[in-house]
Amino acid sequence: MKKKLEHSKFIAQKRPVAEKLLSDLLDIYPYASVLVTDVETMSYRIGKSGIQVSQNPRFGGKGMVVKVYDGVSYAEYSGNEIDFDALPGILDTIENSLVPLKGKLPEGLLDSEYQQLSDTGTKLVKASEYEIDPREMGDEAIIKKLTALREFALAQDERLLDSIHSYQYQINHKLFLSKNRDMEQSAMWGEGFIYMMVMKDGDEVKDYYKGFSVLGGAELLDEMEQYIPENAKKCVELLNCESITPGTYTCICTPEVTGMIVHEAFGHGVEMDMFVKDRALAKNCMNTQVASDLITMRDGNSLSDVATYFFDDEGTPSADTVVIDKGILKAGFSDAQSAMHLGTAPTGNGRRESYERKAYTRMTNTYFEAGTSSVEDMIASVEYGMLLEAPSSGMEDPKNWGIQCMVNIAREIKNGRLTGRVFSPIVLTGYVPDLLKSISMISDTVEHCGSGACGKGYKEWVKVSDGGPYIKAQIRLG
Amino acid sequence: MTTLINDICRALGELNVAEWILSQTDTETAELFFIKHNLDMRRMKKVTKINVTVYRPFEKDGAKMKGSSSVEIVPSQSFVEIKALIEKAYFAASFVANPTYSLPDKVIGELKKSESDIAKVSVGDAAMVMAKAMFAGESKDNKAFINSGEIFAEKSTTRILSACGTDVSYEDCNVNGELVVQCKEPEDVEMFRSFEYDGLKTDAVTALVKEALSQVEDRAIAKKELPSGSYDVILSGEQLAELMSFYPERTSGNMVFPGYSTWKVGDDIMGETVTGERINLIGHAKQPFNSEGIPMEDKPLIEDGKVSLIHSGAQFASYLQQPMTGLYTAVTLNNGTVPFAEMKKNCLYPVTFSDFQMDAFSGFFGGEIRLAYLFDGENVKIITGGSVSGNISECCGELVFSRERYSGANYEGPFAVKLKNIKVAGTV
Repeated sequence: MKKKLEHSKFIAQKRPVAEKLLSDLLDIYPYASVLVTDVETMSYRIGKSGIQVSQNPRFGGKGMVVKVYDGVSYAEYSGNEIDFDALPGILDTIENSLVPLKGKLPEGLLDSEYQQLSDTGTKLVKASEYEIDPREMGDEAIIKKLTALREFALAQDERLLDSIHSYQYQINHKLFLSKNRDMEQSAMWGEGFIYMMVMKDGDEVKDYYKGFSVLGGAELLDEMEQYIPENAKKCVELLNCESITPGTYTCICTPEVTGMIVHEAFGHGVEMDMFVKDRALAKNCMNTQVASDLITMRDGNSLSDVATYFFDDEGTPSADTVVIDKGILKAGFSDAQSAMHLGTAPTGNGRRESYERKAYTRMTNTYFEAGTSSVEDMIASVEYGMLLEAPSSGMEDPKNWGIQCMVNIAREIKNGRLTGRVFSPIVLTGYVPDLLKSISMISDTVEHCGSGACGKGYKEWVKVSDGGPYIKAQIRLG
Repeated sequence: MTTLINDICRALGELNVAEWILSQTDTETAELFFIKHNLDMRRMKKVTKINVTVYRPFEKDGAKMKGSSSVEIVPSQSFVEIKALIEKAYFAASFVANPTYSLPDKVIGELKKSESDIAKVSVGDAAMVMAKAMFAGESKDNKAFINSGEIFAEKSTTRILSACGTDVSYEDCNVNGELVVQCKEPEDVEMFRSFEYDGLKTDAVTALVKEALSQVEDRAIAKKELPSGSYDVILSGEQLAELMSFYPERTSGNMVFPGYSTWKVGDDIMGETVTGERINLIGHAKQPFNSEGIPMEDKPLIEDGKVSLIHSGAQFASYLQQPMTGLYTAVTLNNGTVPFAEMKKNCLYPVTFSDFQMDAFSGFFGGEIRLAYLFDGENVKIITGGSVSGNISECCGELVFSRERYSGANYEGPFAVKLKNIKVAGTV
């Protein structure tokens, strides 16, 4: 039975301080907002290096962001001293150092001119649900569970060098206050991974990674065990992997590889702060065909995973955005300031790595919808090609829609059957619309996962999930 | 913030925590976000974070164990909250069954003040100085321009305390950021660059921008006409820094103790036949202490191609019976014999990738080419597309480094290296 999360006591204590700060700021500035965050977290990791336990937040922490509009442009202050005694100092920094900073701009550089952000009245208090509270389950039980999973994993094959098992939960509490908005939310996500390794030729560690995630609690731990035998088998297969001959292949992508393509190859290109900067080709392709008509792509809260929330870090309610509808590019997603610049409605995608960082347009839960084919039929349809699985990394190129994605395994398919030959590592390259338009079959179920983190370029890490069905496409591999 | 540290020490005492290490960092930043020549957002940050690690000795099956757990504490937390967090961490440590190990010895020292010129000005002024230098790289002679840029000026003070009496502190200053340059004709293309300096290195950021503008103009005319095959490949700048990150990772106790790296002190890691340069790599201490209070100084990691140090924090140093050195993430490479101009013969020289990566576990490196120059001995072709992939363990015996030097955030050494016979997936 699912239970609803309780809200933060820390935020309840700090609310009067945040309200006083907002009130003082609104005496000076036409617009001001305060976002207070409180992150509860615990991470556990067990491997050959030992056991590591930490309460240090990887995303977020306890602190606040203050945003002010001086009638022309916006400025932000981040801090983590949220006490009445600290308010005079914070106000002094904002008024006498931060806001006037634009006056020191070198010759030739100008301040941006923006309108005042929309601040229509919204009152909202929401929390996500969970099945098992990891705090009640306790450290001892979680460590015992992970230890048992690791022992089970290592017993699968003596050639395994190590099997690392990890679980982390994080509870994000947020309070957003502006003149007309009072919003509070709490959401708990969990993530875990199994990371197996073998030693090839005495000096080359090959690895196989499987991630797990949930908008919820420690129920995730029960899901991990069933994948261990299959993961161990796949990891050991890497001892006999070969280098692939570069070229264009007919490929079947597993849902996790589909997710990487959705996210890296296309998703970053419809983050609309990139439209503002003239950094995204997608801006010029609205209402045109960018993918096979089998493809419908969404981002937002229609999927329940680690990036599900009720309002974003700028106080905009979350949404469900249809990005591609049957192959036609219909919309991007945006933060509030970018939407104002472009004259569009914000979609609730303004996200910060933490209270210490600026908000950018970011993806949330991003995926392709399911099709109608069976996976068996898809593989059977391939005369010669590769089954791609186990994505490892990817890099966006919104301006030129180039693809760079890495996957760990390509399995040879010949005459509709897997031959047992395995190639690794694999680099996917090419032009995004070429790949998406070449999609000729998609499977009838969607799988998604949010065990990783997404950067904007090389920084600003936030939790996201991605996924989709199996897809069949023409892809250049190297 | 002395009150906060006092509260933490009081909580540790009341909970009878005998071994602990505490690291407090106070950080102040000014941040500028530009779209073309317009300041789109300005930010300032002032945060204090204290990381507390508690250690708990216990026995399991007759063996001595030392569990640990860490927690982050910030201002605004009451003594009751702080004590509850530390109690939770100390309880969790009782289930962390790691074999016992020694913690660093006591060190006491005065505050090591930053000698950077950033320390002499406000973070706001430091950010503005770098903004001026960044845009000074633009020229009317260029078709290309700065599309957008971000500048972060940062000052921090770190203090490390421990139960055994360690009390050291140091200041740190840096300016870092990133920029995107764009050229609209004949193809509309862009390029990304990042930078990090420990001083107001205005000339360096101006030069970075000039080079980026020149290269993005080349990318605008680059052709997708790279044949697949094997090439001698030159890597330079940040790609070479990424390639060299293989060595500090492979010599770290974090990889050696669990057996992910088989390297030992004295091992020759260059292979049986070495016709190129033997690597001489120094671990560079970016701070005077690691987070556990271990004093850090520059130390050789690899000398003449042989491992000279396995570097570790307290736990793995103790397990491996190696000196406690702290972990090195930055390196100085003392190689370089050939003028860069001589290296550019019959080779492929990719200058930017979408994301060049080095996997320290397997030794594989590679990335998708955004801009490359293909030298055939007489002509130079400007290329885009395709990808490079190789394994450092297979090509390290034939490394040739340039005499010219390069300095980045985590690397100081030759500007370029030539790798022989590297597999390239082309576009034709």
